[in-house]
Amino acid sequence: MGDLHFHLSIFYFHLNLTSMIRQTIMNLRQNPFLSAISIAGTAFAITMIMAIVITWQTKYADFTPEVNRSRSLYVMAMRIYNQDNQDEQSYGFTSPAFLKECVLPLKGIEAATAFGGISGALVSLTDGSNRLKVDKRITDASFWKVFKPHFLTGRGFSEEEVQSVVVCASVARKLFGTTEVVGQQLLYNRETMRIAGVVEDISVAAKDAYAQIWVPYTPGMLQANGVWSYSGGMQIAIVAKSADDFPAIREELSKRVEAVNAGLGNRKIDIMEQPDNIVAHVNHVWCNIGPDLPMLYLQYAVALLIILLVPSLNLCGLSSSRMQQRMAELGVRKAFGGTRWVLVRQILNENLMLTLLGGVAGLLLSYLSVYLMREWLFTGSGNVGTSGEFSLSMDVLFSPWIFLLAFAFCVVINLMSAALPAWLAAKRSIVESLNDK
Amino acid sequence: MKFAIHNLRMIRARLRQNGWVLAEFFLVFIVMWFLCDSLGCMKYTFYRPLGVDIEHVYLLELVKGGESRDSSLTDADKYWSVLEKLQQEPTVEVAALCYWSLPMSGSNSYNSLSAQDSVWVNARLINTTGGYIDVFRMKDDARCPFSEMPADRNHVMLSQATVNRFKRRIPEFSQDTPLGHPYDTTLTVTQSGTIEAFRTYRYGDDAPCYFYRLDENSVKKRYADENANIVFRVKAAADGDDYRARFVREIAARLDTDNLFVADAVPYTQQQHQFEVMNGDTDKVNSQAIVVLFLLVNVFLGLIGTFWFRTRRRRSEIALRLAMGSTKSQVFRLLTGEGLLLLTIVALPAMLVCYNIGMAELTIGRTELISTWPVKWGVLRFLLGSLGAWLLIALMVMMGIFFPARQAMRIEPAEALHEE
Repeated sequence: MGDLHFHLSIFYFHLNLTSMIRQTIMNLRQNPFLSAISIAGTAFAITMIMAIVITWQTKYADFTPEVNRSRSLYVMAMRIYNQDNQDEQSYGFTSPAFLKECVLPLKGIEAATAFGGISGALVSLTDGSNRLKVDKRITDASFWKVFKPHFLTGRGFSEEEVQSVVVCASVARKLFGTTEVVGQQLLYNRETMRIAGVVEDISVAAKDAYAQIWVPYTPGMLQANGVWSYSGGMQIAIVAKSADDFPAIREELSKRVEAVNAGLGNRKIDIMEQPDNIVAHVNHVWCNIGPDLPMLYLQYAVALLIILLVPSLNLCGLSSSRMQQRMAELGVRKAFGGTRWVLVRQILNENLMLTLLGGVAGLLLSYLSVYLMREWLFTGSGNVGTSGEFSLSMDVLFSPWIFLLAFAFCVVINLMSAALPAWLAAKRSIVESLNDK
Repeated sequence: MKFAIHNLRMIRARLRQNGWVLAEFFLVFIVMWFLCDSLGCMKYTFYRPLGVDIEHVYLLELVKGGESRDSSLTDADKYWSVLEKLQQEPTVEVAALCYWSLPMSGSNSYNSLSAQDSVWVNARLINTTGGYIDVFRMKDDARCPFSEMPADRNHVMLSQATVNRFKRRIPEFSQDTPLGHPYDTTLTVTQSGTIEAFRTYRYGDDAPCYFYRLDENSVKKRYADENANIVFRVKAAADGDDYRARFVREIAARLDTDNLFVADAVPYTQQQHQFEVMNGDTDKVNSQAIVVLFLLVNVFLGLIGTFWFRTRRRRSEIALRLAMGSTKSQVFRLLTGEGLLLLTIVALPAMLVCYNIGMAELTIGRTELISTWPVKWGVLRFLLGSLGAWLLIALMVMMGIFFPARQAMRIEPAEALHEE
């Protein structure tokens, strides 16, 4: 008997695909309205979920030029306190001196860079014409090892080239009319600088890499002289060989901080719970308050739960309506020996086709909605007030992950919305089902 | 009433079919209450009067760069020179220079002053020149204007919120109460007036501040190497969409002092927007509004689906009612009545859950789940939130039932009876 059942189910499965599609078309034809509603419900849910997934990926996943996010650690805030007087403390950003004293000596890191926040700068041609206000970021030569923007011409500045800058394509075009400007000079505020490279414009969504002009900070800023040199308007990104090294790096870094503190007076430095991983880093807004990650994760979890549960309850109602219409058919199937399990599986399969139709529509809609709302979705503390464009990364939008997740969520919605009604419907006795009008 | 009882009977008879709708209502009501409560409080705060006015206010964007050509000048000298030149511009009504004191900037300094040696109140320090009050149109003390207060560390003006904080702990606190210095207990600080209550942030409460006045002398002495901010108010007649571009083109270069360049004049509304984004409030309002929309659409889809099928099954019943003399609107009322009654039946236990969530003072991470600030938690707030949730869902119920009901009522009574 067991054997027979096994054979039957294999046979059933072969039949299934064509019959599933046929059944779906029948369903659509018989019940265009209900089908449309359930497709719309699924589509809407998938739109929301995928918009969240795409936003998450854009904020936290690796993509050009921030290709190392998943194995990067960040130090942004620096607290300087007086160990003799607890009330006296000052919060600010960190500094290149901290990079040199505490981060660069760490073993097992691949690269580390210090970079400033975006601020305004004036650039013009050397004769002072074409004066232009641009978003500038000061940084060092390692920046080009941590972030990998696409160079149109030239390359990043090296440690020796303190009078060189990198500009983005749109600024090069506005100043010179072309991007072939490597080796040319421009006036940055009042200084003459040489252009070392031109990069493709960077999306503001890459909040750490974005700028319109990158300028090296003076090597003097690397020198530690007293406690206040550890606080200066910079952030530090550390690329580890792999994310598995994070705990070791954290431990080593806190030892370095201790060692530095031992050499300082009564004022000490403190990096609080840092270094941050990428999620904490993006949500680290103020120097004196760390990111509230439990709340962040809870919000995502609750949002996902509601977005899955509410439409599923809806679809449950719809599928149980449909089930009632088909009671007689289910009764006949049962009378001819269909087990409850076979019936439930059949209903689930049929329903999956509807769900997938909704899923495809939803995914397309999520692309559209993310595109339309990109400014709100990707504006955060790191890039608000900048003048660049929010372009979406194609790598993120069309990564296999997105499709896989969309499919997975469809299956989940399908299970949540059809399994229980199908189970309940298949439970009813044959006579009762056949009698149902 | 007759309808209601009838409806209740019908709901009981169809409890099994209504199960999914009931479950959905229950869940949606709780979430919707949370969102109405949260959005309601935020919007209520958002639209309360600010007490400051940032229309026609601009923030100078200053760039320090390149080598200095006059090494005798300190940063303070350069900032002061920019301020003086700016004040002479004919389009500028008033300008101010300040340190870590701008509203909605995220760059703050705090300190405490004491009354009666024991009561310390911590508040934000506003270190600024006299024009600040006029730039932001705060309500000055008429008897003793801010701009006439001595520019030293021993004279201070309190904002109303600071006064209130003192008064909560010392009922007899008045403007004559001398204040104690935080570091040097031998010094006393004299209050020279009160700035009327103001909020510097649209999602925030009244701001407690200590105002200290700066003049040329104190700026140059105390802040020689600090970065200052300069804000100014443009005459309403001179302001316009193109003012910023005109400023950058015509005025900015005139203000440059040594290696301190004027790069831009940013409208203060933009600074406000940035701060709201940084604080996460814009994101919160937008995301919550989208979830509200999502829930409403789902309630609509769910009801239209359920009732579509059900009213079709009840065609003969509807036809019979029509044949027996019910008007269409009566039948429609019967159907929507059922939906609204379902909602109300579920709303009561859901409200119980909501009220307990509100009372529980849950905190996740560092954030209160139900914020008790700046709007206090109370029964009225709870009832208003619940009413909001009920009304929004009820609207969807009416819409979700309207279409299927209209469809069902379109048939001729005779036809339906014939089918039977």
